Amino acid sequence: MLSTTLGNPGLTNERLNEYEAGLEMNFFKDRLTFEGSYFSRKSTNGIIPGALISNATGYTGTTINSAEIENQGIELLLGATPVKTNDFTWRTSANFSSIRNKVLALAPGINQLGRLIVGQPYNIFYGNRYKRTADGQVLIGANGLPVVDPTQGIVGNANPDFMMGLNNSFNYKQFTFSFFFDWKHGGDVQNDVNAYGYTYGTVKATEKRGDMVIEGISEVDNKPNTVVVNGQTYWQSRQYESTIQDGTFIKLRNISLSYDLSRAVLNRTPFKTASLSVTGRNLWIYSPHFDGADPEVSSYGTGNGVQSIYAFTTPTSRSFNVALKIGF
Amino acid sequence: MSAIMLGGCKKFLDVNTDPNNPTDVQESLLLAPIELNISDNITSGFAQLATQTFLQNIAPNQANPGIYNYQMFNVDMNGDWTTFYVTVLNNLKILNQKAESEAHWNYAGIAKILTAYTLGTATDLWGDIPYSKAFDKTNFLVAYDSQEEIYKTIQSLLNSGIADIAKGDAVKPGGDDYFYKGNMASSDKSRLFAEGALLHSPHESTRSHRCSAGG
Repeated sequence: MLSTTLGNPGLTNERLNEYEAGLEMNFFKDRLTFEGSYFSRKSTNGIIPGALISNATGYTGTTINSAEIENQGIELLLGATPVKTNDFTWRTSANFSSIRNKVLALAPGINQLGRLIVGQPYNIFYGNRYKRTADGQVLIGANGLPVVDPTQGIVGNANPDFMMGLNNSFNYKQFTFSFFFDWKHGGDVQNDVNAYGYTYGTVKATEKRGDMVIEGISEVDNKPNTVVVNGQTYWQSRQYESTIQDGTFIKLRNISLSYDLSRAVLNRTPFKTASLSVTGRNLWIYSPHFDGADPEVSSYGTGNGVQSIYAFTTPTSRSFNVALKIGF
Repeated sequence: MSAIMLGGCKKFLDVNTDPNNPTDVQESLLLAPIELNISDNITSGFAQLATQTFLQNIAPNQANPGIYNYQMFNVDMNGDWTTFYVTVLNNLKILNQKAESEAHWNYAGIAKILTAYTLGTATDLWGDIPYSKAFDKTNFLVAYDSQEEIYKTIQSLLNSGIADIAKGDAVKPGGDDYFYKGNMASSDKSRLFAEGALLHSPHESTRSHRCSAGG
């Protein structure tokens, strides 16, 4: 059988133009440090593998060499040692990054390839959606259910507004206590579990399944909808758009307590250093808008079409470790 | 000695020939997977299941919104378009070319009859479809043929398929022909089946075309 993709002998090199400006500052004998950078990247002649072409050619796609994409972002890192005495030290650091990207061009005459659309960020969500009024309210049909738009459209954006990390560590004599928070703000996730869960009534939201009136504007008389529908009917009519959720999360990524044995104790043993530590990972996830187990999971990886899809995958694992480290 | 060395090196560095992805194979290696795909994706497949759903022959007891609730978008048929054109028709075209160049007329005949059958199913689903300008690697904006044109094409494919088989070539498919195990008289019958399907097609244009053609 023939390969389903058509080779392209005319490919040229991709080109990446990048500008970056950075600043690094240290104050008060390194008690306060700051690093910041801004970058702007533009790639041209970008290679798009598997760009869809008319199947009537006998092939599903080919590799084209005409993508243009722009990335701009800032990255900040702030470190501080607010307390430093003989017995007690507190160190803290925070990092922040925010990246904006935009698809500038795909190929002549082509404005969309799956989740890439010219003028939109990289990897948006595109599919079935509800019809809306000019000011964004959902249109409700005579049956009391939201009207499905006959044309598909953009329903979400997988790119986060910003990411932040916060690290703290406290030393008191031989004890060290540290914890690390990760925060992703914004960035939609396609929750495929809900796509089925709405139908089967297994999603938290479907607990409310009695008669209800759906908020929106009636298509019939252009007034707020008053038609009562059965909850089950409503939930089972949920479209792709309803499975797109804000993937904001805050995670307690790492928390650790350790104790270093003092030199005095170790003098009588063959060991030079010894420490005992207890560590917990992913002990707490806060995701206010996402009702699956873990918005950070991308079930199908990070490829062009599959980023940020949550589909029946186990969440990142939670773990506890007890460790004894000895050095000779 | 150096000549042998050079010869060896030249062969060793031949990275442009991939033994795992041959560019040319005998007909028997093409026919089997093509017939499998016709059975799986043309006679069966999503489009046929969708048809059964709309005819209310099948229904799941509970389903999330989609084809089972009679909600369909153009893109839902993309997979079928791919199996018809990329998986089946393009490989049938290669099979026919290969068989004709090798003068293996039984394979050429089968390729033409199966092409006719696939085109007949496709035009039943989509009406006007590309064929005469299709399968051109240099043209990505493929023009469509009218359904009437497609039916004429089907008729001529069937006629030339029958003519190919009638040449009585000694090379016949065996186990690679899942449908008839190389029984060429049965392949003839499949032509009659394809013609019968045409004749009983629900499309008025078909019937009138058949009548005007004296069929």
